[in-house]
Amino acid sequence: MILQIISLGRLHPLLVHLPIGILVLAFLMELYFRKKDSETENNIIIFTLAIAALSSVLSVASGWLLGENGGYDETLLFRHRWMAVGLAIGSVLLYFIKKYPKTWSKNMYLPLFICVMALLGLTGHYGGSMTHGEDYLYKNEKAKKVVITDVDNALVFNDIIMPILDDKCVSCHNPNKVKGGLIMTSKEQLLLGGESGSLLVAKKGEDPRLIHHIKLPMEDDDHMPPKGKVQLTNQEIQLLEWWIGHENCFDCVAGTLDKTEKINTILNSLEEDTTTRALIAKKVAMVPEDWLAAININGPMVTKLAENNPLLIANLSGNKSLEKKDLKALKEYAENIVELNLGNSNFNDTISSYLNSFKNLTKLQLQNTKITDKSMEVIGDLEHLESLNIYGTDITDLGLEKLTALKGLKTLYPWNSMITKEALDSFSSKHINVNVVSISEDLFTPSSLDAPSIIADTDFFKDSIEVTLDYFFKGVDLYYTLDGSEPDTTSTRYNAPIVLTASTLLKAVSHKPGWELSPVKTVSFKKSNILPNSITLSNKPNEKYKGNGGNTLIDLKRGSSNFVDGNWIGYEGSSFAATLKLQKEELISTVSVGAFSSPEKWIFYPKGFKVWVSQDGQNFKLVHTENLPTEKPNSDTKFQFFDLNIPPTKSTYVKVEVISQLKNPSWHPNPGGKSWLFVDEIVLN
Amino acid sequence: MLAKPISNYFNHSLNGLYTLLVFIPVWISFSCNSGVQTSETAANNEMNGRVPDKIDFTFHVKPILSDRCFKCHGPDKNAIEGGLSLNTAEDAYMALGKKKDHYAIVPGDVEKSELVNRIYTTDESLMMPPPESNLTLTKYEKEILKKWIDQGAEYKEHWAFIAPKKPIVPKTINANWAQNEIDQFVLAQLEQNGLQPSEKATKEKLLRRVFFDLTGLPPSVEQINNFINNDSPTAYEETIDSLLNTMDYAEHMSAEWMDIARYADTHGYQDDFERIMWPWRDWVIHAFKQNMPYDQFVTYQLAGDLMPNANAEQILATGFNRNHKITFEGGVIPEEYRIEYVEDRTVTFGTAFLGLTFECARCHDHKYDPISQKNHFELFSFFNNIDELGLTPGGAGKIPKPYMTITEKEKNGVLSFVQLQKSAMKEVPVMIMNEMEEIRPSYILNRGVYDQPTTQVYPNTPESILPFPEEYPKNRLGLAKWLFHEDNPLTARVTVNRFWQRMFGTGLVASSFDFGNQGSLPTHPELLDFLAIKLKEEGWDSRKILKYMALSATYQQSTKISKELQELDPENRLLARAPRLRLTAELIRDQALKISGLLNTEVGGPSVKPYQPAGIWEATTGGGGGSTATYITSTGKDLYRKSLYTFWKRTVPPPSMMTFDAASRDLCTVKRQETNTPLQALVLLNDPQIIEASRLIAKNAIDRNKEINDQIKYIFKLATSRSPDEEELSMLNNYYNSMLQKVDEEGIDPKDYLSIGDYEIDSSYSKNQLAALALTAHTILNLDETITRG
Amino acid sequence: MSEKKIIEERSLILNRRSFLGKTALGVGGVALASLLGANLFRKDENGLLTKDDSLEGVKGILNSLHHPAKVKRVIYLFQSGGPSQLELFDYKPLLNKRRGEDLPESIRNGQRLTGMTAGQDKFPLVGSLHNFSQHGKNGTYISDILPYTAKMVDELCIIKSMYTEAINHDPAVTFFQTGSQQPGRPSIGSWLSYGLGSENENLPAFTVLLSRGTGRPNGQPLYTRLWGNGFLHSLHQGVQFRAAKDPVLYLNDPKGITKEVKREMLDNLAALNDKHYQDSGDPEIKSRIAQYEMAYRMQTSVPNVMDTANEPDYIYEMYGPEAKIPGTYAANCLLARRLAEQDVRFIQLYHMGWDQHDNLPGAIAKQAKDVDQASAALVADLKQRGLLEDTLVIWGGEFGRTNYSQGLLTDTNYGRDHHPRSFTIWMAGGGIKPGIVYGETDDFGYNIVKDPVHVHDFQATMLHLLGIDHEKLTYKYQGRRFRLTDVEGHIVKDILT
Repeated sequence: MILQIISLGRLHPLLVHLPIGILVLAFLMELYFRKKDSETENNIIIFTLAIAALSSVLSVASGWLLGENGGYDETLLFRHRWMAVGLAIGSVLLYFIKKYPKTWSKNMYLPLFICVMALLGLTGHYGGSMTHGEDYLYKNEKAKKVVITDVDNALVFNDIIMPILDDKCVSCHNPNKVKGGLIMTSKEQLLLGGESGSLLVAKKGEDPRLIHHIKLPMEDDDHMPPKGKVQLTNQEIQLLEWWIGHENCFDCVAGTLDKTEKINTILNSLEEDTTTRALIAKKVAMVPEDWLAAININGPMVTKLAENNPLLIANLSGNKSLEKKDLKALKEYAENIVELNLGNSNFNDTISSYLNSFKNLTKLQLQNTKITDKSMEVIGDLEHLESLNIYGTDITDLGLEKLTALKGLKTLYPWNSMITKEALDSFSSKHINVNVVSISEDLFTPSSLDAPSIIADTDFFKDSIEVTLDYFFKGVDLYYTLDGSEPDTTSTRYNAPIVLTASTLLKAVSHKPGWELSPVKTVSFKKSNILPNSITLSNKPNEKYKGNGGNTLIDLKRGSSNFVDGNWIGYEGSSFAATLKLQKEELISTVSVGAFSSPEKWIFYPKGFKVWVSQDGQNFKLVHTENLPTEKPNSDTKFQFFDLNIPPTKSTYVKVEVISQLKNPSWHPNPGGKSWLFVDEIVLN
Repeated sequence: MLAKPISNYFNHSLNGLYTLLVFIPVWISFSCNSGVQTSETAANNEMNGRVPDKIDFTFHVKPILSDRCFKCHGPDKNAIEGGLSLNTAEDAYMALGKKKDHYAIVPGDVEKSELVNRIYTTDESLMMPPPESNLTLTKYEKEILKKWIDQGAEYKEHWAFIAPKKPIVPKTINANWAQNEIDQFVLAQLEQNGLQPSEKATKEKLLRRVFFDLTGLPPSVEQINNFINNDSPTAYEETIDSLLNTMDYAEHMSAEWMDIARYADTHGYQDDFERIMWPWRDWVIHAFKQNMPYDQFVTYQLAGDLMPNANAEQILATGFNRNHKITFEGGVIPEEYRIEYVEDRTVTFGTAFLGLTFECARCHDHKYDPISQKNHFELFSFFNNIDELGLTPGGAGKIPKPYMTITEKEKNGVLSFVQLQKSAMKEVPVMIMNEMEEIRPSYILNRGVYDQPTTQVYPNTPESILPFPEEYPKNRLGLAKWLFHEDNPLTARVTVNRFWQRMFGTGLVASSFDFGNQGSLPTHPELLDFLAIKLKEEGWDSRKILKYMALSATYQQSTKISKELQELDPENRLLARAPRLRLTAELIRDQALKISGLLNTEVGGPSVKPYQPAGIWEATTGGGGGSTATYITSTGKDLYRKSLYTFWKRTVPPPSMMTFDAASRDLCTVKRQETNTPLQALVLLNDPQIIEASRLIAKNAIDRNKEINDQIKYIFKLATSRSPDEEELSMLNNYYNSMLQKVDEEGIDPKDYLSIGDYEIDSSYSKNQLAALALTAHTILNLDETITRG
Repeated sequence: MSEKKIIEERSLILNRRSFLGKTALGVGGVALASLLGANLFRKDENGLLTKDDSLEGVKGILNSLHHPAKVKRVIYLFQSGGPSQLELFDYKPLLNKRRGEDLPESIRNGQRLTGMTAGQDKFPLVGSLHNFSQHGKNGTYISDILPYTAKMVDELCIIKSMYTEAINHDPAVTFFQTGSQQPGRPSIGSWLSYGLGSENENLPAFTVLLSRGTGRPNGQPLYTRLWGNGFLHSLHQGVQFRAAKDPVLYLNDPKGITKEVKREMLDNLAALNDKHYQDSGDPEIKSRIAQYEMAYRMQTSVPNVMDTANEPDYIYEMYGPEAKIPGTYAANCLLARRLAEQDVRFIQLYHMGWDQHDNLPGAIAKQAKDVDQASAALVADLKQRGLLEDTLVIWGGEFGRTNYSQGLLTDTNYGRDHHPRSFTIWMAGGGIKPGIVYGETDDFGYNIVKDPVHVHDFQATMLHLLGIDHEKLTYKYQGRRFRLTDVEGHIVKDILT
């Protein structure tokens, strides 16, 4: 029975709204119909007052029962209760006065009605204070809300936990309405706990009471918040558990506490974006997918910032046939566009007036376009603009001044525009929040000269070859020699391509007044007018460096320092001989052998050479022997052509033996190890 | 021992099939206008949004459970969340929770089934699949699961693990169309969908199709004309017979096997030195030429060395197991890589023969299929017993042991098919399998990591497929026997499905590499079983089964797609038409060589190096050197060998072939991608091989025909196997004339254009005419129709 | 040895280019536009993305980003071979003090060794022969062999705490680029192309540039699979831009014909193909027509972007003398900037030759000279153009090098073996905190003592910056959903702005 009564009490929140609405209605009708004294209207008001009186009585009755239930601030309850009683009586009186008008009472009627209305306001207020908290009405929503922009710096209790409690618990557990003896509005009160004990400290193996109640099944009478109230979300429960798990630390900062991946995700979701873009996003509507699809029919141009995000990025860069209609096409959702890239397009002052539709732009790229100061007028009106790129435009100091209006501007790219350095400096000093991007001019100024580039089609030629020298920036003179001597400023100065008609060692340097002379660049050009028909090798090169076999030596391709490039053949710990068969009998005076040395890699120049000639390929005559000195200790990587001058002989076959060192010299880190011999080309002249 | 479970499977299987037979017509009556119904699409086709009246576990429920639930509630016992596995009925019906008071599934009781609550709840802490899994269920799928539980939550064995049983060949309304049983199965399903098969393809199309499918080459103009003029009812069959006996057939079959066997001419990791495996390739060609039965073909490759009195041929065949990548990178830890090699052999075995993804069970029990980590390493142990090194000392030219050496002696004996004379070497070493005397113990490797062995395991096969018979030897030979055991549910299906894929572009099971829970379901399950049994019964005869497929009316349909069919069945699952297939990388080049007369038809021997843009190998080469450091283009006739013989450098494969979706040969591949990209257009427009072929085609056309129209017709027919119609002819003719004019106006330098490629044409031809016609041929070689087998 | 005849080549390109313009588009251009409208995206029943159709190259599989992106593109300057962090960024004076002493076992702590030093019985510590000095606002230590990088230090976020699982080149590079040590998975660029598509329909979304270092010209090889598409559609493979005459394989028209002749061929081809489409009804033919048009457009756009002749002298001054020589790292950096300007999504450079097992001091100085000025110039150049704001630049290799000498330690010479446990990379650009050093190694430069960053973390962070949730960009293949970060990866939040 008792239980039923209590549950009748629970009807109170439902019932109270009836007399409120009806009394107000009756009052308004009374005011409205005052001048007319018609029977019909009067009856309507009487009926309305009857209902009002009845519902106020019922409200009082149910409220009384609910109040017995306890857990409310005594003072508030007292005031609310007795005012409500007054209100109920007042309503009943009003009904009777209206229904059975007496002259004495007629005069009382309106003042009483005004009193009842006042009572109604007060009763409602006290009632509201009990359920929603005393400061409910006066509280400034904005001030109350905690805004977290960087969750790592957020205070776990103040910024994360308390708002949850405020939202879901405090309406019943505040100093005015102390359900279960529990108040949850402050640290101290929370630690104090409620009637049934501590809220946060748990027995071993059990959830703390706070969590326990939340996790009880909804049907359980002890489930919190009670059925019907707004429940905690799963995320909120997890946050509470996490906080309690860290000994319900009241002063901790979120970034310092351990957290699982899940908690991390939840915490991140609490971060509120207060950037300009986020604020714009709140103001504009979502863009329909079909509009996007239609606009992008010829390739992607407008993209959403992200899924479920109304903001757009439009990229029209590089479009050299941009017209007004291209911007008009975007007009429908121009306010959604926060980023517009028109860089390297034919965008110009005539089209620029259309920019004013894009009033929410935060980033605008106009680099390398034809706009001038004229357009800056429009740009100065883009109040949200944060980043502006005008590099490579004709904008001048005048245009720069127009930007003064842009309060939110953060980054400006003025490189290679017509704005003077002075103007930029003065702009920077006035607008310290704007990052005027530039790189220091002397950052990449070369501090030394490099050797010139020697450019030619090939290193080998039959009759003649044209060679070009080049340097990568201007104001540098190039000097060269063709006789193998070291070039300097007294050597030939380069001014036109050099034509070589004989094998030449070309050396060149760069020079600039006041600078040190560059290192020397050397390239060897080989004339080769005797082409062998075929070649045979006495023994096979090593499997790793076999190139295209013997043909590697007569393919007129030089090897590189990457000695596995296939243009070298290599022998490990052995010498070799190559026999070249000519197309026809030729007069031969030099045999040149291209070789490689890189002691680090166990590769050395040959120890010597032997050259034979033959008419028939059977009988060979030794015509030249040459021994080279052993290499001095070094670790350089180098190439060389060894020219072997033999007595001019007519022959059809030439055999060259290239003699290997066989072993690393004594100065080598691995003395006695099998050394390598690398040859890329044998050229006859 | 085996009889019992198998009879169970059998019952299940029949049930399944009956359900299906009953269900399809019912279903069709609702939905024949809204889309195609095959058993597979029925399960996934959510577009029509209608939940079927009778839910079938295999076709409706299993795909959902497997894809969305098994990750945490599947066969992997170690990954099970909340103690629930939905893998078997037994596990799924089990009581859960500390108090054993709730159930994921209570058959017939939706209310009590927690599964239903969990998939419908909006409470993120309870929701299944959980939000962080990034998996979700659609409304349709939830309905399916709910209804399935409502109808009793019946579980069925995975279809592919139940041995196939000869199905009843269905009757069809149309009694005239079918040529053989294939057609009856196909037609029955078409009729259920209210569809008609397509008309028969034209004779020239059909000839082109069967030529490409069986030999990988187009028919010549003479062959086309002869066939068109031959009215004999057996003409088609005779053609098939003659094609199956050609060397081209053997080479074409071998080309597919190279993908499966991940054949390459280099070792495949850093430095990527050359290896010699081509004698093994010669054997594969030989085996196909001899029409070696598939069971024997596979047994030789898996375990030839273990066969009684194994001869050199049987041993050479085991090279199959050594085609994997092998590292020569100086600093590696040898055992780490040796394990990788054994893994590769294991995984290849699974993919190629069983259609299962064994690599998934390396680190943990398989998430989707009943293959445990233990199963994985038991299978692994079969392949773990050769005397190999993780890292072979030395560099280029070293052949990792074990290997056999083929010399003149073997060449004159049982290995007569090895083209030893083509090699510069007198003796060639080929990697093979050779069982060690002492068994190397195998272990379950924790997380699959080489240095974390746990429990020792012994050779065995997954019991869920078929338990390993006691009497079989516990080695690779036993494994091969198991593979071809009468009751093995997978081998024949997987094999015949791949043959089907050859002939129809897509297998009856589209995922020819995966017959497991996550794989596709068969579009025609009974047909698949019928063919599998036929293959077995007819002695695993590849030629016979291919011929049988080629003779079906299904195969002989036209490829034409009506708008209606395109909408109803864009993927051609019902086979109401023949598929249009883009030629493979190999075939595009081979066709150009063939029709230009450049093709060198020599068989076998070492790989060759046709045209390739300069500098590709060189740009990436490192310090190891060797023959793979630089690309030295072959010369003379070697330039024009079939693409099967193109040298395959695994780390830098031939770019033009990769552009056309060739497999990289890093791993066993049973199905290639089919893409359509701008880079393909660039290859066909600018590859010197295509341009050289165009020039030769033009020359041949001029040699054979006087009139320009006839020349163009001739070229068109060579390339597409049909004559151009009036409109096409006039378009090409105009083009030719325009090109002639361009030569005059110097828009074309005929000398330059005609000098592309090594092959020299004598100078008696008019350069202008030849260039204009070559450009016309060049255009025709680029036609979509030319690179397609229609 | 002598440079190619670059100047002549340039004028050829200019001639070729003069023929082209948007008006040249033929029948196929229209076809493309109509095709793009229809059915571009396919998601599976989950809303997860699976199927990868032939036209999806232009637009990625992600209809829109998971969250707003900080960067739109990535330039990844991959230093192949494993640059020594101890000579470049991670200043460890203790190693100079204790030079020659054996590495304490307590520090090595069972770390596995490569086969190259596994046989060594001593691990003599060795400090850098190259000096370090402090630079930038925070006095960050940078080696003297990186003078230009040092000048840009306030733009960089230097991560000293990278670590990986692989100890050898092939698996380690493959791991960085594909998320798995064993080959077969798609590379980063392919994932991005698949997910985001191309911003520029005339250029591939994923381009690759190679150069060879001078420090060890015959160092570690590369493999084309590093820019392979794995199991994704081959539209997503990296397209190598080469210094050769054919900048993209098969790009150049055959000799002897002009662009007009080519155009006529394509128009004729499109008409014939279209006719065949009418007869056979296969939509694949339409797609092929579109791909031919795309190929044609690439033939213009690629030479245009490769043609650096119009770059002013001061740009060459910035990037250094080698920028004029095609195929060098410097020239590639300049190209990278040009590609970035064209909105190419992922620009992957590889510079080979960092594998200094021996002769390290000399070789690394040469390598550093190869890359120092151009890398710094790239960052600066992007910055002045406003591109750095939405571009991510990454500089780093596949692992680091040991703090002990491999082989003989002499007064002037030593080598270092591979070291996966700690190494340094740097990043710069949008969303990255500039001018910070993240992570720390111990005084021996051996173990990470603060803020470790795993390869998968690095990958997850990169995707995050691009607006992608690394757990959500997946592809279902052979029954499993694959992603770049496999099953791991955490975003390194502390380096983000």
